[in-house]
Amino acid sequence: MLTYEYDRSRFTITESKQERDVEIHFHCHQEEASVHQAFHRMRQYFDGNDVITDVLLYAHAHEEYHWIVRDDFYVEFVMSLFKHKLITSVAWS
Amino acid sequence: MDQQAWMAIGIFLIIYALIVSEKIHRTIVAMIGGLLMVGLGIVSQETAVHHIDFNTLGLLIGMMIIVGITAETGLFKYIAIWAAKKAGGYPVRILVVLCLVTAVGSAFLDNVTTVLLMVPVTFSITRKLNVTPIPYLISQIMASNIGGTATLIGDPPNIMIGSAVKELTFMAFINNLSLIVFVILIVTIPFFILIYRKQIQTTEELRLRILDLDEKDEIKDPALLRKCLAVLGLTIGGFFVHQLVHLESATVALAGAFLLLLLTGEHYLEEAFRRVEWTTIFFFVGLFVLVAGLVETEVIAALADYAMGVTGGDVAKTAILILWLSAVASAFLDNIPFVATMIPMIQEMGTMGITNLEPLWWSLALGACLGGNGSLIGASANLIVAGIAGKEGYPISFMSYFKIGFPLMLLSVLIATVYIYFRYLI
Repeated sequence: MLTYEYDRSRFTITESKQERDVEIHFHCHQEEASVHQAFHRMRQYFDGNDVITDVLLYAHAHEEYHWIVRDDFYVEFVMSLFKHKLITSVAWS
Repeated sequence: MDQQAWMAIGIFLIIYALIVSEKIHRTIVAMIGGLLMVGLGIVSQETAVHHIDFNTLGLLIGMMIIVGITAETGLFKYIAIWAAKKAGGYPVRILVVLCLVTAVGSAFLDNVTTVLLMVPVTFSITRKLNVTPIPYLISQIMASNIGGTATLIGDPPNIMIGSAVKELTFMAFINNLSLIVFVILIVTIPFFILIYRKQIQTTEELRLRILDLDEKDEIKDPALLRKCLAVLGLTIGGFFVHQLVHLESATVALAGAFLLLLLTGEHYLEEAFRRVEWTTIFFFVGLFVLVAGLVETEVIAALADYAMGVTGGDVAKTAILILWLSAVASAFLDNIPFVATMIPMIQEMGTMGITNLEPLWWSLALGACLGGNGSLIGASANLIVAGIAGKEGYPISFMSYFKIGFPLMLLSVLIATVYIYFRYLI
């Protein structure tokens, strides 16, 4: 399993484990264009492969984003967060 | 019949059996069949080229380019989320609105393209609601085949019929088929609700989360979207008036496609051409040449003569026979080769004394398109959705689809029979 750190002054991340997915909620404390753009690039990346249900992004009102990540794509998703500098460190626990 | 006619029949039956068996890709099989017709001297190369319907091919290629670029904008996801919110986030209402969106989309795009655009959105919405996507996928398969029946460009059989019969314009298809398609859709949707309502229940919290979604976030490139909408609007407008301006539907579609490429710039050119389903295009080429072999050796004329003998040349009997034969055949066979064979046969019937061919054309269109709903292998859209669903971990078995699809297909063809009878035959 992966553990990660992030800048808590920018946003809050909450995770919950479902049957075959992990749900990740991002709540930005203020409007953050860089987060928005990074999420769009991540979505474009995951939309580009042959799997539809791997990683799904839902944009909500009030700067809230909801990701549903299939178990087998969780590591790739966290790495993508790291790649886009949305998390500051990542490690195997 | 002479030796060449028997050779043509032999090649046709072997190729047809290979297409049905799906052991080898249907495009390879159809092209080999077409090449055998030319190679064995059954038709000359010049005659073979003459039989290839470039209007069908041009229309398909043009629409594939336009839709391929439009899909990049996120428009279809925007529409689906907007519709889900309008449905109040209730799963049953979402099933209904997604069916309607699919049916309308299939009428003005082709149904394979429409389901390819709708399936990812469906997975996304159903995952958010935490309900199984299978009822949505099955109902969308059926809605796409029903919706595609309404227009000349909605389903390959209609494209082929519209291209072969110049009097059957885009408006003629709308005038003759849209009303009955609307009725069939309205009758069919309550059955989906009745069958699936218990399987698609969600919590109040998840329903409210749908209402909170921001559909505008799905639009990836607003400038590109504006260009695509303008060109799509012009192209569909062009279909409505193509006969008045003396242009074939393929010219309208290709003009739209290349106008869009002119507006979007060269960097979309490669991607747009990659999105054209060349396997489908060459499948059509092979089939046209294959059927040319049967036409040129007068096998089709002999078949038409036989059918006239069975029905006594009576228009009503012939129309009903074509409707039901097309529906049952299309439920289990690929409707494209079936329609490719039926078109010259109906044309031949015109030379044999049936003066009013119109009911026969509409019977063929309704039977071939609606029949596709009869089984999971009845239409390309069915196979594509089932394939994607299985890959994503939601398999749709032949029997689970058949139990719902076949009775609803029979119901739709029954409604079509009543329509054909009262509108054209009395």
